[in-house]
Amino acid sequence: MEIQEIMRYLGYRNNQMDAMTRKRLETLIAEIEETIQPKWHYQRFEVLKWEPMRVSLKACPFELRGASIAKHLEHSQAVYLLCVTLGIESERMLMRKQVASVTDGMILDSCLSAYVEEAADQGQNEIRSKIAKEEELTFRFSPGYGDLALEIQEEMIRFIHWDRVLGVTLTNSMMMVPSKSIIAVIGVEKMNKEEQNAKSMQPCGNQSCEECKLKEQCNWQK
Amino acid sequence: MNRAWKEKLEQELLLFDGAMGTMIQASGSRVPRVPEDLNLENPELIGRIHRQFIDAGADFITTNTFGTNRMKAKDSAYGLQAIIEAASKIARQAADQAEKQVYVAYDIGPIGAMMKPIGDLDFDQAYEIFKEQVIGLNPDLIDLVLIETMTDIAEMRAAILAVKEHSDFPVIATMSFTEDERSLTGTDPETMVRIIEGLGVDALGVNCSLGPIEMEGIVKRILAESQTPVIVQANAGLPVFVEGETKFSLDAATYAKAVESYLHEGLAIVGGCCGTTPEYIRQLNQQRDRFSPREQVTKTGNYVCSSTKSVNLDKNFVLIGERINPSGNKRLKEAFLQGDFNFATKVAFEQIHHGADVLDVNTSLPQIDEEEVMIELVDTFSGLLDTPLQFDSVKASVLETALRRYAGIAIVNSVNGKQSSMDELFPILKKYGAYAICLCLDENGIPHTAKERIAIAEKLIENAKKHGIEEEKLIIDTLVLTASAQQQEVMETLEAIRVLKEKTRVKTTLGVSNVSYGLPYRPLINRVFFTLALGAGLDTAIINPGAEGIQDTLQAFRVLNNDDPGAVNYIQYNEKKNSQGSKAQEVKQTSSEADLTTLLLEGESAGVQAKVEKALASKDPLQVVDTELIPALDAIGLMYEKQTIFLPQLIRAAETVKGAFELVKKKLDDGQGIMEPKGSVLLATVKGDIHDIGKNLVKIMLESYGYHVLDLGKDVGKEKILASIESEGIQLVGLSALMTTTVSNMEEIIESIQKTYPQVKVMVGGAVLTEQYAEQIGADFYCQDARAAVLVANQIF
Repeated sequence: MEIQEIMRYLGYRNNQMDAMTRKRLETLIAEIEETIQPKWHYQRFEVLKWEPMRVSLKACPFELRGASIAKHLEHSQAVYLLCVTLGIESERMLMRKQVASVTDGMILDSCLSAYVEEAADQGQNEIRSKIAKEEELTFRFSPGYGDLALEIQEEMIRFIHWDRVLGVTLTNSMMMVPSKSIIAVIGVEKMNKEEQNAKSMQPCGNQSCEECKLKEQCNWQK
Repeated sequence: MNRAWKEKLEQELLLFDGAMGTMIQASGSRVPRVPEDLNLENPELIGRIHRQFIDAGADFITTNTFGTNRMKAKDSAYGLQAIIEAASKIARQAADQAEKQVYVAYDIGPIGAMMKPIGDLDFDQAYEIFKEQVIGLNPDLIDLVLIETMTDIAEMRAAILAVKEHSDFPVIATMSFTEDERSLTGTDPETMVRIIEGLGVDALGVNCSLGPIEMEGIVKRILAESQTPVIVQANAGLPVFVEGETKFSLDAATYAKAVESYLHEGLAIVGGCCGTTPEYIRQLNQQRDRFSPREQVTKTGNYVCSSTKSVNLDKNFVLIGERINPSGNKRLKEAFLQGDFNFATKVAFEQIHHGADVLDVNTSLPQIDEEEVMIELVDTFSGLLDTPLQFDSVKASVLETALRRYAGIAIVNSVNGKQSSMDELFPILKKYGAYAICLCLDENGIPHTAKERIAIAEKLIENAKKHGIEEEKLIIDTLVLTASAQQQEVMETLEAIRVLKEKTRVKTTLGVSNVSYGLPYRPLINRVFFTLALGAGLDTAIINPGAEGIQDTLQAFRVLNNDDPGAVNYIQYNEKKNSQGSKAQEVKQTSSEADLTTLLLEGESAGVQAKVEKALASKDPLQVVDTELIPALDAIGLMYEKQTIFLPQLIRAAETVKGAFELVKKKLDDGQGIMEPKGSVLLATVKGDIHDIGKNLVKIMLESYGYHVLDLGKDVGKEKILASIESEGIQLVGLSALMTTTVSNMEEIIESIQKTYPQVKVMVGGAVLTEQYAEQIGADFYCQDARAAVLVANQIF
């Protein structure tokens, strides 16, 4: 798990972590990796019609409404709807740890937040491995960003059956249960020749080398 | 309502239909936002699909009502009752047109929300939602109810109870499992069978999520455990995406072949779930002659269960932890009075740590609403603990409430030989499939001899039988009296156990530590008596599992009684014990030199306590607080502000200092002094919000500074907050909200506080809040973090 990310959640920014917290963090990460199985599920929809305020999808009873999601999907000819969750055990683990130690509960909460993001990365990578050579993915756009209403989650969960497949449901106030879950809209864009060339030069499939962990040692790097 | 099919169960194979959803999708018909609206918009389509399944050979068809509940169908253009009526009529008509007898099953699917404490759906709410569907059912149209695709056994129970209490329909109940052979909420197949059989249904089994091949292990486990006929409705294999569409991996012939082995093993009903078309049912129909009836299933044993774990009462001795009982625990009593259930959870974990297999939950306290407290504890424990529960109250209504909500098979403590007790409690036990602690006393009190106590036990057995309760469900307490007062009766108690174990199939229990009241060195008496009782055949004991000598005795007994082959557990137990001892030693040695601030930051509770104890020896307790503890905390607070330490250390220090405050309090108590809290702060996460980590951080920080915190928990409405302000004389309220959707609730709460109690100040915090936002919703203070809340409190008090 990416320690740097967890430290960001815990408010460390670029500062050093004390030895005791570090030790607890490592123990908790080991526990998470042993007990929590991230799960994800996604479905592809072709874009039926793009408008500046809404995007409708083929064989899908709901539209993606709002200026921000429309802008996000401006160049997309399809979308993937992705749902990722750490499952109910993550929720139980959080509750149990909090009873034993508030400090551990807080550290665990940050670890799990980082873990579900990583799982979403993995889900997205899996999608990336399935799209055509000339296609590229946008970043993940979740309900609640910009003016894409949280309520859309309800329709997605019901239509794609994420409640049955992943056990993800919503509370009355649109919170996801388990809380360590992510729903995202990922656009599929067709690249022009130039972009395709650029992509083919990165056989890893990453969009750029900037953020890549391996950039120092990578032989493929441009 | 035609129940003739029940006679055929396990005599011949019965055939359900396949997937309605798959057929609707394949028809290319427009699907409305609420798919069940199709019953009114396109009844011909639904009727045609029913007929296709009937033509393929189905004996049962399922109404198109999977999501017809208040939550999922809230946007229906027609309303629940209209859908239910239309769907029932369409199915009945299709069934009546058939040449053979076809039964109509009314379909109930999951609500689509998670139950408490992990989600926000309350048991009573879930029950009402299911009830709404059942009361509208017409017995002229419907023959039975199918509850299917449940992933949460708690929700399944609510559904079964709603159907059984509001109709006479036979019930078939199926749950979904994942490939790790557990439901999404963690229930294993055997535990599911036991819990559903506890309520009683006509058939039970598994459906959806997996194909028949992946399900094999699950189906076999259910067939081996279930006394009830078993049903399987698998998906047509696993889903695969082909050109943007979901397809399934198995064709009809392969599907039918995969199911064949289940038929040999006595599967009573088979059908299909997602992806199964009439062709799949046709193929299954050709397999009817492969059915061979199940051999008589013998019960695998007696189990008490939580939703995720079964504990066997036959093989191993079972320790029932007695510590969740306010009458024997001052701190627990205080916590109950304040509506704080965290402490009970701590006590629960402690007992589990010491080896409790089952936890007794006693809520008997005259000043509290016992039912309310019991509900809180059942809900909280169901989400957190694997350990099954035993409910302990003198009020039958409290026991029934607990059994009703509890997603497991519990023990009730207790029934006795008085006719009134048996008449009152046995029907409840039967209804919920619970076990019972049965006390050998009756209208004449506790008899002196073993013989007389056995006679009462026999009376209990006989009465239980009249209510259809098997004697294995009775855990007889032959009652131990104190050796100091009734010395001659101690052996009578054990004799009664011996005789009962020899002559009957009941289980036995004792409240072991009673024996030593009034004698010195009680643990020794307890331990020896416990050993004798184990030797007499005792099955369970209600006891403090952490008490001196109890685990030791039990571990040794298991070796001597040949229950621990090769003494493997005994050796492990000892290694663990030895290593714990040496660790404690280490802590004591290393921590004596460091200063208080460092010890707090490192979370060295033992070191902190040693330091404080030393200070208390020479200083006045309050002086220790003012000159040692508070300055250390202030220093830590400053380090946090300067960013030389960070949130985890700040919180750890706050958590660690609590132990020191306990010592100060104790010292004051001993000297008849009291430590007045600096002030009382009410904390709550607002209605709609079920995340409370932030609030808990604030709580621990405030407590570390000596404030009294009234923690109302999460998802709290304004009524409860207002009532608590009034009753506790609160001056400062802290509210937390995580989402934009719940900030509006926060605003509403602030408004009503200010209207009713203008002198009360409100501080707010949470992920979506900012200084400006806080001001906008009328809060007096905005807290960016937990430290800020302390500064606000310091300003107010």
